[in-house]
Amino acid sequence: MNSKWYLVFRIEKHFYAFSIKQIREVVPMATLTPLPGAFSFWEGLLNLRGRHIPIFNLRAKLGLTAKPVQFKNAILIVAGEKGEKAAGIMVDEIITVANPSKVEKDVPSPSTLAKEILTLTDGSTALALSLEEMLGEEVLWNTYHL
Amino acid sequence: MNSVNESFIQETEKLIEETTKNLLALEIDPEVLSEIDGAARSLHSLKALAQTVGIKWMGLTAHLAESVLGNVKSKKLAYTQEVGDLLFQVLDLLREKLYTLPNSPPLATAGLLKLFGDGTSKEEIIKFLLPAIPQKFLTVMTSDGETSVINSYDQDKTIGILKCRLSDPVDFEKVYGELDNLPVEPVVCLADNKDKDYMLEALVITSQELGESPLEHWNWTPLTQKNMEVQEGGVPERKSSKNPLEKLQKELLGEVEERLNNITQWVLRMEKANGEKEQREAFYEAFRLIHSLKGASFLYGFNLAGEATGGMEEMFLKVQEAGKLLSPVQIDVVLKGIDTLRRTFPPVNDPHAAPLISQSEVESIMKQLSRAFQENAALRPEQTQTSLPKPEEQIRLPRKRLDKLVAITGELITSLDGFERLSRSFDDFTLQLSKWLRFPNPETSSGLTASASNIGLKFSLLLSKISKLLNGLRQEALSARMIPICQLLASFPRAVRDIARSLGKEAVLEMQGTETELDRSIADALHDPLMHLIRNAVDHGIELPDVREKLGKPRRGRITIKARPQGNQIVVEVSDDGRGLDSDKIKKKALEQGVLSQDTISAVSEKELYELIFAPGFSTSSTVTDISGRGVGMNVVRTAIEEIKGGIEISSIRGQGVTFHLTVPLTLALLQGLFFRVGKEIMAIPGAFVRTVKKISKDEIQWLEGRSVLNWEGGSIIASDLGELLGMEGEWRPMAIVASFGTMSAAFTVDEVLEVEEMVLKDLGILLSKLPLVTGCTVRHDGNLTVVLDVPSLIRSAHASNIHTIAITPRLIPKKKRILLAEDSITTRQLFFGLLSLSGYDVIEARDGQEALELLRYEPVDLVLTDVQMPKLDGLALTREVKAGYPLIPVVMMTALSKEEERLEGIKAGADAYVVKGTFKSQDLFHIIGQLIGFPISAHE
Repeated sequence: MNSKWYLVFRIEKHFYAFSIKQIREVVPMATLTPLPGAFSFWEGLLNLRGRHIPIFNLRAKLGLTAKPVQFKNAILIVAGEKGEKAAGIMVDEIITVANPSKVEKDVPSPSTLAKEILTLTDGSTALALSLEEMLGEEVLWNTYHL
Repeated sequence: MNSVNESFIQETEKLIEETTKNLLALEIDPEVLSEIDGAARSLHSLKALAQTVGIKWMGLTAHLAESVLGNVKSKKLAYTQEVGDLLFQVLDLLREKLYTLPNSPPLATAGLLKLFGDGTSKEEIIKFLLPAIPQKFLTVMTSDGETSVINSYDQDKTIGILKCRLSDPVDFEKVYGELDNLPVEPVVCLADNKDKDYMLEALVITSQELGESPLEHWNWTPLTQKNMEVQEGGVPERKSSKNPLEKLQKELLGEVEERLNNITQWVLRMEKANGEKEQREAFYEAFRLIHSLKGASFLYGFNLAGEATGGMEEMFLKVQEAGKLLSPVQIDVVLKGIDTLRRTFPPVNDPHAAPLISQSEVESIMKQLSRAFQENAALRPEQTQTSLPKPEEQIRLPRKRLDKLVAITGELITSLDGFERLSRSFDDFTLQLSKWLRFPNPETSSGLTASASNIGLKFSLLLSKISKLLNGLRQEALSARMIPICQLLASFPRAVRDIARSLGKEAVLEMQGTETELDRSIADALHDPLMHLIRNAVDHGIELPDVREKLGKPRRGRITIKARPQGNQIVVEVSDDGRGLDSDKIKKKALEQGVLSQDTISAVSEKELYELIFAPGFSTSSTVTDISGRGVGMNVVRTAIEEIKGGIEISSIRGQGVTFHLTVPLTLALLQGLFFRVGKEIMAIPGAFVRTVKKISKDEIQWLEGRSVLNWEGGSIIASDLGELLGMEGEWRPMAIVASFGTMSAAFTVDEVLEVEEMVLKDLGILLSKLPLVTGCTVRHDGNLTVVLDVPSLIRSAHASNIHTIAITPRLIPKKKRILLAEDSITTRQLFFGLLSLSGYDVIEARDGQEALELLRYEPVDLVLTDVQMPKLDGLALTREVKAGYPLIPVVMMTALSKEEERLEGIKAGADAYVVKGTFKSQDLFHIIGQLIGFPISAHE
C-alpha cells in the first residue's frame, strides 16, 4: 500500500486528485467577486473570513464549458508551504480521500500539470495534478496554456 | 546590547544630519556665526557620544572637524568650497563607517589635517592634535621603520607617524595594510604636500584605551599582544638592534609589504594581459616571487609566514602542472591569500612579536583557499569583515500621541462597563417580560415599554460613544505612521550641492512646507523619484553659471521643493529656474524615434508633448552624463509615483524653468474610494483620481474621429463604456465618472454611482500581481469584497484604443485541436481524456464506434484515437468508415501489445499510427499525435 493520501475530486465525468498535504481546507461554493481583465480561469475572489483568495477554475483550464453552480460544488483552499500563494480551486464534487493502491509516476504528457496516475482500491483511476505547476508562472501567464 | 547599537546609530545619524544642514547654510553665507556654532555643537555632541561608547577614532575625527570650525570662527581659516568638501567627506565617512564599525580608522581624516598642512610644520600639527589625544606617549615612525619617542611635547601622549610609499593614485587599502603592522591603533593619516603623488605621511596615534568597550561585540580587530604591551607598559618595548639576525629580520619585514604588492601586481597583470604569452609571463613572475618569499621567511625564522607562503606556492604549482593559467576566480583566491600572508608577519619594528594571526587561523584560511582554488568556487566573504546589520526601522513617536492612544484605549475599556450594566438591565427586562407574557397585566405594561425604550436609548448612546472612540483610535494609530516631509528631504540640499559641483554649476535647494506630514511608506516611495527629478533639474535644467549670467539670471540656480497637503493628498512641486523644456527638441526626438509623425506633430499640444518625456527610452539630452540622460529615468519616476497611487504633471516655460507637480495620497492605509455599479458588479476606484461625477444624456456623447467624446471643462475628453472596457456587454450607462491621471483624462460610463467611502486597499497577492486593470480589493462596510480598479491603466487603455469603446486586451483563444476518443473502458477513457485535455487538446468522447461515427457527423474533429475492441462497431470498422468518409482525418489505434495481427489489420484498415496500450509509457503518444495534427496550439495559428 502506498502511504500517501490524496483528495480525489471530480470534474465533469473525470477524477483528479491533489496530495492531501496541499489542501488547507474545503469550503462550499460561494458567491465570488469577479476579476475584470483576468484570464478566464480566474473565477474571482472569495472572501474567506476576511481574507481574499483568488479562485482558480479548473473546468475552464480543462476547456470545459461553465455549468450552473450545484450543491455538490466545492472549493479546495490550497497554499504554498509558507502560506504564500493561497488560492482556491473550484471542483464539481469531492469524491473521497484515498490511499491509492498504485501510483504511476512520470506520466507521459507534455502538460506538466499531470503528475501521477493513481489507481484507487475500487479500481477507478484518477490523475494527480501538480499544484506547484498549476499556480506557477508558466501556467498562469504563458499563453501556451491559455 | 542591540538597543545600545541602534540608538547610538540613530543618534549619530541625527547629529550628522544636523551638521550637514548647518554646513550647507554656511556655504551660502559663510559669515553666519550661528550656523558655525550649530555645526560645532553637533560635532561636539558627536564626539562626546563616540567617546561614551568607546569609539575612539570617531571621537577624534569629530574633534578635528570641530577644531576646524573653531578656526573658521576665529577667522584663522576661511570657509571655502574646499573646506566644505572636506567636512562633508568627513561626515560621509562617519556615516558610512557607522555600519561597518570599526576595524579601520578613517583615512579621510587625512584631509582634515591637510588644512593645517600648508605651511604648518609637523610639530605644529602634533601640537594642535595633542589636546585631542587622551594618550600618554608619543612615538614617531619613519618610512625606514625606525621609531623614536618624541618627548618634547607631552610626557603623557604618544603619537606615531608613518611614512609609506604608495602607488598613484593613493590606495587607502594599502595604507591600512601598512598601518596594520604597527603596534599602535592608527587613527589619523596625513597627506604630505611636498610630494603628494608618491608619499603619504600617516600620523598615527596610539590608543591607550583599548580596554573594554561596550561595543566589543561589534567585532573590533583583535588586540595583538604587542598592543597589549603598549597598553600595559606605556612605552612600546624596543630591543636594541645589536643582534645581527634581528637586523636582517627587520630588513625582511621592511620589504614584506613591497614584495607582497609586487606579487599582487603580477597577479593582477594576469587578468589584464593580452594573449596567453603575456599571461604566462606574469604567472611565472608571481610564482617566482612567492617562492623566494617563502625561502626568505623560513631563513629568518618566520615559520608561520613561510608555511602560509608555501601553501600559496602549492596552488601555483598545481596550476602549472595542469598546464593551465589562473581563472578570474582563482585570481580572487590568490589575492585573498596574499591578504592573509600579510598578516602572518610580525610588525615591522618588532620581529619577536606574535603575528597578527594565529597558526590555526592561517591553516584554516589556507585550507579554505586551496579548496576554493580547486573547486573554482567563489570565496565566501571574509569573516573578519562582519558588518553591523542596519537596525530595524524604529519610529519616534511624540509622547503626546502615545498618551492619547493609551487614553483612548482606557476609555474603550471603561465603556465595557456600560455594556455590562446594559446587559444586566436587559436581563431584568427579559425576566419581567416573560412574567408579563404569562400574566398579562395592563398596569405593568407601560413600565415595560419605558424600560425597553430606556435600554434602546442607552444602547444607541453607548454605540455612538464606542464608534467615536474607535474612530479616534484609528486616527491616532494612522498618524503615528506620519512623518514630516523634511525627514525625507534631509539629504537633498547636500545632493543638490554635490551634483552641481560635479557639473561645474552652482545651485541651491529651497524647501517650503517641510512640516507637511505624510505616511512613512509614501515618503519612502517618494525618495527615489524626487531625487531623480532633482538630479535632472541640476543636470538638464540649470545652466552653467556663465551662461546664466549672460541671460541675466543669478549665477546660482535655484531649485525649489514645495509640499502642501490638499485634501486627502499631498502635492509636491519640484521646480527649477533653468532653461525649461525645449519643445522643438522633443518634437525632433519624437520624429526620430517614430513616436509622432510629420502629420500629427502640429496637432499635438504643448502638454501632450511634455508627456512624451515619460515614455520609456525617451531622453532629449544628447549626451549621457553620469547623472542622467539615458532616457530611463522619467519613465521610472512615473512608474514609481503610480505605484503609490499618485500622479505627475509637467509645466514648463522656455527659458524660465520646469515644474513637476506630484500628487500622492497622504497614506496608503486608508483611501477614499468611489463605489459604483457596472452591470451587476459593484466596484471602486481611488477617489484621488476622480474629477467629477455627472449624469449624462445620450445627446451629450459626440463623435470625433471615430471616438465617442464628452464635453468637459470646455474641451472634449474620451468617453468609454466602463463595462465594455472590462469585458462585459457594451450598453448605455447613464452616469459618467471623469477621472484624470497626470495630464490624461477620460470619462467612464457606469450604471450607478453609489457613494464615497473610506477604504483599506488590499493587495491582490502574488498570483494576481499582473492583472492589468485591477489594483487591489477592499471589504466594504457590508462585508462584501469589492475590486478596486487601476485608474491609470483604465485611462491609458481608453486612450490607446482607436474605436469608440474598447474591449480590454483582446483575449485571443487559439482554436484548439480536437481529438475524438473512442474507447469502451471508462478507466482508459478517463485517463486519456485527462492527459490529452490537460495538454491542451480538446477531447470529445465516444463509448463505441457507433457513437464515434455519429459524433463525427456533427462535430469537426482533427484526429480520431480509437480502441480496437469495442461493442457495436469495433475500432477496425470505425477506422475504415472514417477513412472512407473523412479521408483527411488521421486515425490512431490503441492496441494491446500481444496482438500483432490486430496491428497489421489496423494498418490495413487505414490507421495512420498505433500506440500500445498498457505500456504506453514507452510509446510516445503525444509525439505521434503531434506529428499527425501538430501540438495542441501551433505557433502559426
